[in-house]
Amino acid sequence: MSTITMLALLLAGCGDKDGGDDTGLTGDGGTGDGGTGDGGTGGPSIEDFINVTDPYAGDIDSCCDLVGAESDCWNGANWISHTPDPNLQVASALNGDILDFETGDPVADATLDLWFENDPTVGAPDYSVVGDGDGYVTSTFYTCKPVAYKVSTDPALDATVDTYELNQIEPYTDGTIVTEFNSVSSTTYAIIPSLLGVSPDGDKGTIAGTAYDCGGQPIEGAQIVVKDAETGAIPESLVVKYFVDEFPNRNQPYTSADGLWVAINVPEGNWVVELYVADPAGGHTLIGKSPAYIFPESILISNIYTGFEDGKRYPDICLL
Amino acid sequence: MLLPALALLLTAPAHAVPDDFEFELEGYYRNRAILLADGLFGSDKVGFYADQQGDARMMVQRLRLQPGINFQNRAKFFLQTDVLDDVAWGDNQSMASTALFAGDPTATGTDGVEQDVFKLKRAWMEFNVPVGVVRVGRQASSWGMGLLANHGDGFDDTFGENHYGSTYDRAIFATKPIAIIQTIAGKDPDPIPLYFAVGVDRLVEDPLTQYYGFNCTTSNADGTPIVEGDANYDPRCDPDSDGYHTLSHEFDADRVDEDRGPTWWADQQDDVWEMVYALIYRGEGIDLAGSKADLVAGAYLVNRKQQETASNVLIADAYLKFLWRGIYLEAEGLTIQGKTYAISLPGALNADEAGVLDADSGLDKALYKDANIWGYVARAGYKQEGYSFVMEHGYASGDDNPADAEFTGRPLHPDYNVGLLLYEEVLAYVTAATWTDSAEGLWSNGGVYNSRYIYPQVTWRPMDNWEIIGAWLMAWPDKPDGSRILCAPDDAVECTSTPATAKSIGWEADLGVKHRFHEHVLFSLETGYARTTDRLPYESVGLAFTTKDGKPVGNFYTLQSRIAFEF
Repeated sequence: MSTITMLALLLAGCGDKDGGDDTGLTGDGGTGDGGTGDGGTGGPSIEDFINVTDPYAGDIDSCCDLVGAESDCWNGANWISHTPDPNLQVASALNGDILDFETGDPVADATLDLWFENDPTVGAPDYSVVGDGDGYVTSTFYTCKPVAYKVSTDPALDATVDTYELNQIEPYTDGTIVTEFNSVSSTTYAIIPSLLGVSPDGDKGTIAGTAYDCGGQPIEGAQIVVKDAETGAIPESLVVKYFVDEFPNRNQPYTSADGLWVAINVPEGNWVVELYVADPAGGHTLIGKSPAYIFPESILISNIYTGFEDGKRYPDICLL
Repeated sequence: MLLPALALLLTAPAHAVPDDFEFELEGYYRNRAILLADGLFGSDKVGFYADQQGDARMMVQRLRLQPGINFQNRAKFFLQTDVLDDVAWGDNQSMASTALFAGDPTATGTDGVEQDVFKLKRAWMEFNVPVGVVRVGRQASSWGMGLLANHGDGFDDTFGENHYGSTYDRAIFATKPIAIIQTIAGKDPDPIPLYFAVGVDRLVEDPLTQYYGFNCTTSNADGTPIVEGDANYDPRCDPDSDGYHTLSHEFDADRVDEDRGPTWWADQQDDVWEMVYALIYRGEGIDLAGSKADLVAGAYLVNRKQQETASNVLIADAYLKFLWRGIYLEAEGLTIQGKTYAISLPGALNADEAGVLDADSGLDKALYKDANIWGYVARAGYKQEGYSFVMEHGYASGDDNPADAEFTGRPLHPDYNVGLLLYEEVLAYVTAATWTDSAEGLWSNGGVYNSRYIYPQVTWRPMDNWEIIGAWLMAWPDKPDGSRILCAPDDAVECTSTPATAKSIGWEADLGVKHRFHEHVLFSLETGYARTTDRLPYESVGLAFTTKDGKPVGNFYTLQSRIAFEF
């Protein structure tokens, strides 16, 4: 797709609303137009993953109107960056429930590890607590601050896989934070690749999440790709699949109305998940990104928000 | 409770029943020692399973008792019970505070779960009527070589044990149709061994399935959203009461027995039942070209239905056995055809048809499955008193995409044993690990799975009651699904990735020595070595493997021994 076409799309989407920077190009490293892969030679190309031609269904135009958007307007080059009110980033008591990602049932005796700097790669967590038999945990948490967590259970029981989530942001409250944490069962972790016809490698991990539009609704017709955070290379083992009616479907080529996606066999390391939609001229527009770190044989829940490159979309109440 | 009752039956017949009752007792007590290892003759370094140190070793046992009451061969009643059914030796529930001094063994099954010591598996009655025999009750079902229906009784496999057995709640009538016609015509009936049977099975009174959950759709047939007041509106699909259906309803959890109404048992719509028809010629010791011959040939038809899910499945199975002057032929072929909305595998929805309602049944086509399953086994060989050669070839159709509308895969019955390792252990483990407990119905349990195989066998009987058996098994995938059997570039299926290079799944060599002594004691020593290819997902399921030419390969070894008392 030509940059002119891309520019036209961006102009139609945002530029005329706020007169912002209309010069932006999509993507980083020139990959947003579905051009040649930037993963080096011999590896998969971006066309292997980003090839949707059907139009998307969702709102990717109104992100400029988001409260607290610092940039003049998101246009693909200038990503929206939320700045929370530091006065609202306060430690609070937490009443949490650890629930199974698939069934919503409480997960008994699970360990919740919290990293208040939103980085589980630094080593020991800032706070660690074991839930009771009903999946209930009490802890300390922060409002209006992205926090990373991990939920795990006794490895000997093989009941769950280590489940990470970044960017858990709780709205401001002057009382107790009440929230939920996800845990993916070993059953779910095994059955998803089974239905998709994929064999997960034991030394690799899985990223799953929802693609959201500017209005915070799941976006249909989007595709994702996972790239090395430094080189932009696409891992050779990567398999990306999408869901239909909240179930994995091997024939679904892009996000359906539920916005759910899963990336399987992602090697350990730092990655960036990119979200694309088709443009009318036959190219593709990069509309969102989110950083990810994968640990072996684990699952990372990472949602992607249109207009954001850091996956940190704060509740309105947190913003300046 | 049952044990004292059984003891009473066994010990006091003379006082409890008239003299013309006869008591019969059949059964066996078996023990089997099993060693599973990675590498030929085992290894202390790596286990059969990747997370295990050293070889896997265990001993399991089963006591089967089948007492019967026989009234003048005109009416009979039988019970079949399993005691310590595949229970592992020892205290496996940590009942003793100090393991080293444990004394009382537990009843832990091979699945690691404590089970009932005593299981009443079957109970049925059998009586003669003027034109045949009627059998009613919870009974074994068996046909032909046992690919589809296998009683799982006794010691009928060359290698391995029976663990399952087909059991149905059935009423069946069997007769000799030619004899009936001849009798009606006023002629003396010829002893032509042609039998016809017709029966009815009740499989399920009320299924607890996920089916109900997926019946929520968000759109009417014309594409408009379903809103409160529409004919299609169902409040169970609107948990937040906003007037709109949602897919994220609470209605998609498994239905549990608490959800049943008080008259659930009376509902005919949800029952699963089947009609069974069988016609078989059983000619044993017939004269053929101056020699005695055995000829058995027949067909078995089952029509299985469930009204609620518009399920109508036809199962057909043909069987032939021929033995004449040492020439041996035996074959069974089966197919399962039909339509169903009853297979509710987690996530196995046909997304292309989601929300479209079937015109006749009103069911969401996302659940529709077209069953098209095939399987067969054929044997040919030469049998003499002192030796025999048999070449066996078999097939069980697979399913490369269990989530689509074509349901094409089904393993052969797990009690039809082929070898000791490849199907019995390795693929059984792979299917269980990948399908997990949530789709247990798709486990192979050791049956021939998604493949075709050859299995030549040689048996030598050097003296009475001694057998030495050698066999070699090689298997090729039918429809690799990319998860249990990995895909190769030349496979005629659509796969997400094609990491495999081998054409076959692998091969296995087996050797067995069998001896019967004191007429009732059966001894068997069996060993097998399997080498599997990069068709299997060793790493993701936790099977031990090594690497050759950059590709993973499996080396599996087993040594097993059985001692059994059969009565």
